[in-house]
Amino acid sequence: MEQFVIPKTFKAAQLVEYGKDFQIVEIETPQLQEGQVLIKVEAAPVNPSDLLLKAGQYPAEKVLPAVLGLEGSGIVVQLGPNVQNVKVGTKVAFTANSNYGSYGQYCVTFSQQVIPLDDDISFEMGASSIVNPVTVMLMLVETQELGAKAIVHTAAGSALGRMLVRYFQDSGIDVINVVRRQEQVELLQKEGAKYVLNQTSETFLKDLNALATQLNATVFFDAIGGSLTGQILSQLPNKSTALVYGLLSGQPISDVTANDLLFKSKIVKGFWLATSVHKYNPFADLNVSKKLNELLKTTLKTEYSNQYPLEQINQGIQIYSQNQTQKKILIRPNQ
Amino acid sequence: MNCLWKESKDAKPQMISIPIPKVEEGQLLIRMDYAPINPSDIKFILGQSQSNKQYPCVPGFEGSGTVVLTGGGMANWGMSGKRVAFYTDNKYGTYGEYCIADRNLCIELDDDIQSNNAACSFVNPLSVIGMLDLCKKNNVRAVINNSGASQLGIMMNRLFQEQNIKVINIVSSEEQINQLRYECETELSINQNDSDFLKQLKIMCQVIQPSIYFDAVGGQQSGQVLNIMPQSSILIMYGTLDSCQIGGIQANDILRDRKSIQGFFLNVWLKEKNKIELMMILKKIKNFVKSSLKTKIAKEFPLDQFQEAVDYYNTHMNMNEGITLICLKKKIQSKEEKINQKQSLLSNEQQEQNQKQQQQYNEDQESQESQESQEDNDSDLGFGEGLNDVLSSSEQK
Repeated sequence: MEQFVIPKTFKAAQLVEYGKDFQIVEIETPQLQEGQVLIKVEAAPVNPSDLLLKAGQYPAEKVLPAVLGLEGSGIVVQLGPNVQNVKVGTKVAFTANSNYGSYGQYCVTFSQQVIPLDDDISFEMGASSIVNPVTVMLMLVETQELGAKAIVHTAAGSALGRMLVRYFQDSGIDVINVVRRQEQVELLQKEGAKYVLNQTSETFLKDLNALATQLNATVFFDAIGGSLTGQILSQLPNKSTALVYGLLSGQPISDVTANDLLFKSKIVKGFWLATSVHKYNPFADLNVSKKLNELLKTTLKTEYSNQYPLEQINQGIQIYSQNQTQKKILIRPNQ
Repeated sequence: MNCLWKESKDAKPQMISIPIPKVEEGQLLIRMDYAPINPSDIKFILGQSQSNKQYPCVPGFEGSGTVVLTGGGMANWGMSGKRVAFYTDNKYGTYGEYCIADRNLCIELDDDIQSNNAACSFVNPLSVIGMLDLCKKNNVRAVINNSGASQLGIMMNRLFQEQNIKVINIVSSEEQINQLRYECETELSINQNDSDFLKQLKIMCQVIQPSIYFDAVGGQQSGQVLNIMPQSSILIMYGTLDSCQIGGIQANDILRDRKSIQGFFLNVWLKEKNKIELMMILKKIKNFVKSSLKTKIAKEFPLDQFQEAVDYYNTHMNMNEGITLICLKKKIQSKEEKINQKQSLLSNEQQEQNQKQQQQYNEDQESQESQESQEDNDSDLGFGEGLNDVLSSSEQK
């Protein structure tokens, strides 16, 4: 079995106060608890959820100071007590919500939160394996279980949105993409998106109603929240379900009408990877993780604009947060 | 017949006179005694509700009366002349002298049950039974109800208590707290106008652990209450007393705490029930009616004072004095009215006779003891002997 030298301390980007920049610090390597693994991090992306977490607006209250970074790729270098399902030396993709996230040279997570990567998937390719790809895969499963033939998707110009439209259309489910800038409309059309609506248009709700009725779009994945949730839901057919999976507006969900709930049997639920208990589980099911590995090379691929070492994480985030529609940035802690 | 008539969803209802409706198989023609005004009726009249009624129509969804004609069919055998309480979403609803009901949602009244008390046997009890259904489906041990002291709320306290499900009542006055204490023997009531309302509710939630919020009020408060409740709680909107929307739903509640939002509407819930389920439900309603769950009657109005009745209802809505009832019994009739009515019923008779002749063979197979007296009991309402003869002769074989 491969042995790795575990350093006593390592470099990490730590958040000391919400809303402030990360601080590059040297921290002590922690002892692993039951079920945990230590991963040497090779690549970690910055997702919108990471930015929200850093700003203190994400429902995953951490005790600060903490090292953020919700996902990444690397090598398992140490196993905690009672870890059966993964070996030291395995190349993995992982999610982390401990105090030692992926924006550090080493990361601590539970062994149930890693997915082995095929040899022909590079660390860069494997860095964004879970937050977007697994969410999109589970969204398709949810859509199929609800029997929908078409969906509505807000903030559709995001990396997840572009991944979603490719994946769903390949699977025969139509997507009504909702964006708020003209350049996002063009971006999606370039990806092959058939239906794109601009929510700032005066005729938006009318257009949405016509399209949703025509396509029978009864599932609505909402990344924005706020009053748009209720407004969009009211344009959808009877028995539609709104699955809120993001909160980009920062506003509470509102404008859900009694008309929709009582007479049109519509439902509002949440959809969150962290709490999505599902039979279709890429972490536990080998067939699903195999499928994920295949898709990571094609439909569920992520492209990056730039890569940054840990020391430049704040600059990188600054540039990325100004335009999240562009490609993601990647942090390389061990380069 | 005289009745309330609504031309379209947005039209204001008016009093008119129309021919007595025809019955089809499986249906009953009922001569109405009483029909209540429920919150859902007000919404329907204002065009803010939906149902299976097609316009134009007679509003009103429940009431009590006497069956004067049946549309044929096995289930209806023997119903003629019976006093009943029922629910209907037929075009010819209960705010008229005659209405059409479905045998499946109709119960016979024993002699010791009065028509006025029985008129409210369906809408509220059915709603509470439907809500209990949802509780059982979701393994719920406790709920919150707003408004706790409504007619439906009082019924909910009683029925849920029997099933060992606790109800936290949100009310809007101290009187309502006392009323619930007296009528339902419950201390689980909180006044939403108290300055520390949410704090009180939070403490109660931590102890009682409700997981469904039955909300008939809406607005920002919906989100505030949902926020205080345990993980995986469900907000079920079932009415809209104040606003037509809900708001203030925190993302945390939906995402991290897996709470969700849906609606409950009686018509929709009923539509999904099959015949067997409806029979079970009917049995429960019968028990409801038999037990001493009398609804209080605040005031009675004749049909031609319908607007006054609505005004009375609106001004007394929160005083919990009981049901506003419409009395549809006719007093003295003119000779012309009697003749018109006879003719109208006679043409219905022909239709029914044809149907009965087709069933002749089946009916001959029936044993003798199933034949009952078909005479009309309520001769005091002045329909005249002639009409009674017509009705009786068509039923007897």
